[in-house]
Amino acid sequence: MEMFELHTANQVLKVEAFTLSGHRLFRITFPDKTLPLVITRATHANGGLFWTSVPEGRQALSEQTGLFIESYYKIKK
Amino acid sequence: MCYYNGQLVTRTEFLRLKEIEKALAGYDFLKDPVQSGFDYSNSAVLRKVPGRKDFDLVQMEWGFLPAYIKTREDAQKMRRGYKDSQGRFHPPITTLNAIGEEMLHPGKIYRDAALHRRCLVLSSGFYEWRHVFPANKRTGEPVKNPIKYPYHIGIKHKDYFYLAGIWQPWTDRNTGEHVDTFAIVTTRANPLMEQVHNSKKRMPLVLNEELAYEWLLEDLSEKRINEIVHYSFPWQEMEAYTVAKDFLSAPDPENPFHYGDLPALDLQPVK
Repeated sequence: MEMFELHTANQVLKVEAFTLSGHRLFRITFPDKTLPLVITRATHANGGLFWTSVPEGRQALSEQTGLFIESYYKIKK
Repeated sequence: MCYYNGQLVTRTEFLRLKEIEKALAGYDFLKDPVQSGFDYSNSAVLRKVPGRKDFDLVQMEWGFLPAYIKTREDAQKMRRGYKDSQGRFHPPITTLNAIGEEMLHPGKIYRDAALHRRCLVLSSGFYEWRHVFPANKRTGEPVKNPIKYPYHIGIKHKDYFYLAGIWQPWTDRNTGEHVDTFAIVTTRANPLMEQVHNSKKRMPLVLNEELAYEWLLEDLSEKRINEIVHYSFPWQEMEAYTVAKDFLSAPDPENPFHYGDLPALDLQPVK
């Protein structure tokens, strides 16, 4: 399990990256009362990748948080 | 084609995401701040992926079940103790913890797991009881029965840390039920834990990140395993505070609780 923080404009999000049954997942906890979110990269029918919540229901927040995670790994490289 | 979260995905991808949902539904450890070993519950464990320098996060049952235990009924007998047909009581055998310095000894039930099935148990903190023997008001002598105070022990500035573990796959030979079980490896207490867990002077084998990944992923010799089980996590990086005596059933068990009559731990800062 890897843990890191994402510093957004007004929040610090805690991220745990882990593998579950071979699938890469990210669990995000928020400093406010927002419920923790688990997201993963999924493949769109057109072949592109997108971020999605698991379970379903929080797509917008998943995409927004997923972009932060991508930025984190780009900077880390 | 199907939709997942409003996004068009192939049926294969949809099934994969549903499989993750299902796996996550059983992934409840992060909701539970306290896991008492004695309810033999599931815990989050990092386990090596065979043949690769990679690991999976899985749930395992805390309480190592050796292969010679054939059924759940036998497991219950081992864990709870039982009376045989002559009315003789056989005390429980606890396999929640494996004594690190002894687990490789010939004939130990943990030996094979220590050599071939090591794992890491994720912990956000653990609890131990400190025994205090105040002076008897009449005689001035220390009382015989200690007053016990529970402590929460964690690592400063770390939400999670790693405890060394060993695991064992187990199948009920009557029902076919299969579970992976584990024990937490223990070692001699460091100066902080000597004072907190002062009745036994033992502690779980807390590993730093480097040793944790070596323990989990590397092919280790007996000599190296023995070296690692003698590792003493720096006490200066740990923190311990008292919690309420009913912490096991408290909604926020990690909340500090002050006992006015309890002498403070006597820890000298490193100069």
